[in-house]
Amino acid sequence: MNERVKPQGCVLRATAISGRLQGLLGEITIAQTYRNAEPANIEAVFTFPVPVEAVLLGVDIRIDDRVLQGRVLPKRQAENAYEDAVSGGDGAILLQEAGRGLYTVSVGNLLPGQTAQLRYRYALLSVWNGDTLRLQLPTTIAPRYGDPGQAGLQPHQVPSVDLDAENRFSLELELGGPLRQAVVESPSHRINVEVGAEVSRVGLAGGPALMDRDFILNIQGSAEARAALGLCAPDRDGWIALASFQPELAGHADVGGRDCVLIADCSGSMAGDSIAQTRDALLALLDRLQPADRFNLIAFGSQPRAFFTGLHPADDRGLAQARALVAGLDANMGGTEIGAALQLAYRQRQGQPLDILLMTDGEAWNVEQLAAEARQSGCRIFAVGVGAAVAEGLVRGLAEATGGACEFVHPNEDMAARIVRHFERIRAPRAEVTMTWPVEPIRRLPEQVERVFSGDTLHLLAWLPARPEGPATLNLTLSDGRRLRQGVTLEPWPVAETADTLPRLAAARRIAQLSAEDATALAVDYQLVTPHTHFLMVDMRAEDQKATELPELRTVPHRLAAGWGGVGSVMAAAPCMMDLLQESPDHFDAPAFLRRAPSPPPPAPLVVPPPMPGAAQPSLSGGVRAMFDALREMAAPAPRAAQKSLLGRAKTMFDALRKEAPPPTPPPVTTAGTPADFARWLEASAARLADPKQPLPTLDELATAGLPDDLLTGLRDLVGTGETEDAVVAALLHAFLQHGPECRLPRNASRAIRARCRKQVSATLAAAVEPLVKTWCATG
Amino acid sequence: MDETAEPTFGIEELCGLTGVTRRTVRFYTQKGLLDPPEGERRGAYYTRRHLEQLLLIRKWQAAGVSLERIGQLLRGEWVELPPAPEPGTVEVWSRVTLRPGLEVHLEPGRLGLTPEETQELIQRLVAVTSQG
Repeated sequence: MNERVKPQGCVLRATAISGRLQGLLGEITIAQTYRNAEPANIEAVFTFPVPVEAVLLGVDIRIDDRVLQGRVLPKRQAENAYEDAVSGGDGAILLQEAGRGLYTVSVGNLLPGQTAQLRYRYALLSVWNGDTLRLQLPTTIAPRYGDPGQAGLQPHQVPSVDLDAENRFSLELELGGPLRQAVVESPSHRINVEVGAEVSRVGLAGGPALMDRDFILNIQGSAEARAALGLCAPDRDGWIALASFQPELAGHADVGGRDCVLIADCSGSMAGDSIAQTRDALLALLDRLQPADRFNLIAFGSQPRAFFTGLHPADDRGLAQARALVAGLDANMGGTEIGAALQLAYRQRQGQPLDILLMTDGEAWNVEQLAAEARQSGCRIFAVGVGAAVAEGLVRGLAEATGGACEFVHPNEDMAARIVRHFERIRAPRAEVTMTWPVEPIRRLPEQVERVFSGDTLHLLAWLPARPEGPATLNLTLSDGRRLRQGVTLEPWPVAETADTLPRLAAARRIAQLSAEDATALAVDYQLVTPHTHFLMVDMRAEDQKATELPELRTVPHRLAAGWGGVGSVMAAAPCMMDLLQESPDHFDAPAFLRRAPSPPPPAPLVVPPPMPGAAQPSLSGGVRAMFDALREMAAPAPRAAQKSLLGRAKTMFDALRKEAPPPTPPPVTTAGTPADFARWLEASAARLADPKQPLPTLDELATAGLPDDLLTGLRDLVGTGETEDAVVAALLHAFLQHGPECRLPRNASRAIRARCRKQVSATLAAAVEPLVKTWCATG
Repeated sequence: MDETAEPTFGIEELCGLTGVTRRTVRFYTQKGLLDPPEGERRGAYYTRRHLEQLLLIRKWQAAGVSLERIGQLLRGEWVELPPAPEPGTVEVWSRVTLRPGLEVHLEPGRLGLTPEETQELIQRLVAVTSQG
């Protein structure tokens, strides 16, 4: 976060996210429009997030009216070609990975007036968890702890954050096939749903939304929609097959006697919603422990702290102590040293396997190192990602490296229900899995299935030497002796022109297992953007069209993530339940989870239901009221409703502050004319002029500040010739500071004014303004 | 060619000498940390001065100095750090609650405010924050 380039008007003009989900396999398109509205040649750079599982299929480029083609090349080759193009004055676009789920795009030599439209097409293979498919589309990158350089980011890739970046995105999703009739809801945004004959369409209810939080769509599918899926497509000389199952292993009696460590992220970024969610999660977790279990609780920030000296029995006394400790947790422990906390957790292991439940927003850079250590530890990590803009890469990475699982819970979602699912996974019986394909595969992915969780989709890929005929069969042998068997027919890929989607998706999943050399070759062959390869487009320009100077850098900043570090609360944002299977509308004053037909309300969740659109206060039914009271009685921190109203009031207060306390303006100078008067006015205005957030004074204001009329006329004429008023004022101030009488300005103020003016003023303008100012100073 | 002329480097050579990628060299130039190369476009070259600047940037970065701060140091700008209080200095910080959840911490001495001005400031803040 070491840069803050503030372009005048953001170079990123629009972001449009669209997508089509037919079932588990979907395609997501992100379209970005960059426009150079400046007089100078620029290079626009933006590091942006995509779902971690998304595989880039292609980039469509349009510069002004021309459609341009690029291709994926080995990293070094692409970087050098991009540098050659930029230094040679040609147009170029480079797309590179910046870690899990992050990409950096560079639009080099975007000439004044040019517009570049980029459309990134991604394939996304989703999963069912129970009856829900969760589509989570990140829009911003929250500030992360640690050194992005050590995580492999080059200096230009480091994302910057701005409190008031006005980036917005539009959204258009199509749900087709078995998902057309699904019940959908978004805990993050208000949505519109339009059910058509072919597809249903989901959009944002209020038009384009700020890119300050993940967009989340929960799609509830019927049993038919969730049926096993088999697909195959030709791949070079052979075939690729994908089989997706959702095994149900219910009915297993668990005797307890497990060891687990609960880890709570109490770093500063967790303040507000996230730490409240974490406390909810911990209380729900403690409720699920059985007397025969042993546990420990670790809270961390810059340092980890274990509450017990070792594993402690989950008896009444131990749990009561832990609950009291949880109530006292706050996001006040400093940095995000997840590694140290995990190491402390690994050391708790005593004799038998240890499971770790980690609650975090994942805002740390060192993902790869943590994942490697976790893989070594032999412990399973069950992660819960909290917050409105969670870092998916870290949360998912730790779970996948250890054979655990992850859940993402938005502040407006019910934490308790998701914790229950995690416990079902932890207690799931071990299962031996074998898969029989119609043809003996050349290669399988995963090579061996090490984990099956009841109700979670299992994707199996196979590279086959010939076209498969007949069913693929999944065989499960559970540790209690039960056997399950499920078959699926492999259907040919339905659409001819996108038939390479499956082979490329499969190739992308292989990359991580290959050596750098093999991975590069495979990625180039299948045109995949990976840590070893970049996408490059070079637009060779005619000699007279080439840029003559190195482009100025314009980094697109991210809007600070909503609720990050306690900056406001997203729980106040009204989510919208939109059920395609329309329920009677008069249920809409009931809390969301009570309306969620057909499942019964979950048992006394600890989460306050999200407020209804338009309702000032959540309307409380008797049961919920009882829950509130119970919440208050517990030695818990202030109930969320109370926190929320306080936050609401604090916000109103801030707005009031902004309105009521305008920056002090210096008193107008009545005696007009002399440079000395103007110098005094400058001294009085130093604070305002030094603050880059405040606009420069207008010429009209300067007229009251002691500028003589003839000088003003000269300046206004310059504005008439097409210079901006801002630039003219900047040039005036700059010239006055150089040639006028001495101003007793604080050093930092005069420096800031000089720097600010220098930035906005062209050489021609400075040359035009200088003699005017000199004349005035000489005569006055 | 003059034998005693200052050595010059192509971009590849400069990268090889410093272990910095071409993109990063250009990034530093764009950020104003490194002087632009001599010569035009593809004929651009670098001198010993560039090499020294680049090594210095690398050194400071490795020591954990932010790029913004490196820029200030290279331009000779001196940003005043808050003076570290001498051991034994007694400072009295006032902590004023404006309303529950909102406090002002201030040291009127350092702010240069008289007691009357401090009181007025607090009154104004209270007035503003008690609305809504």
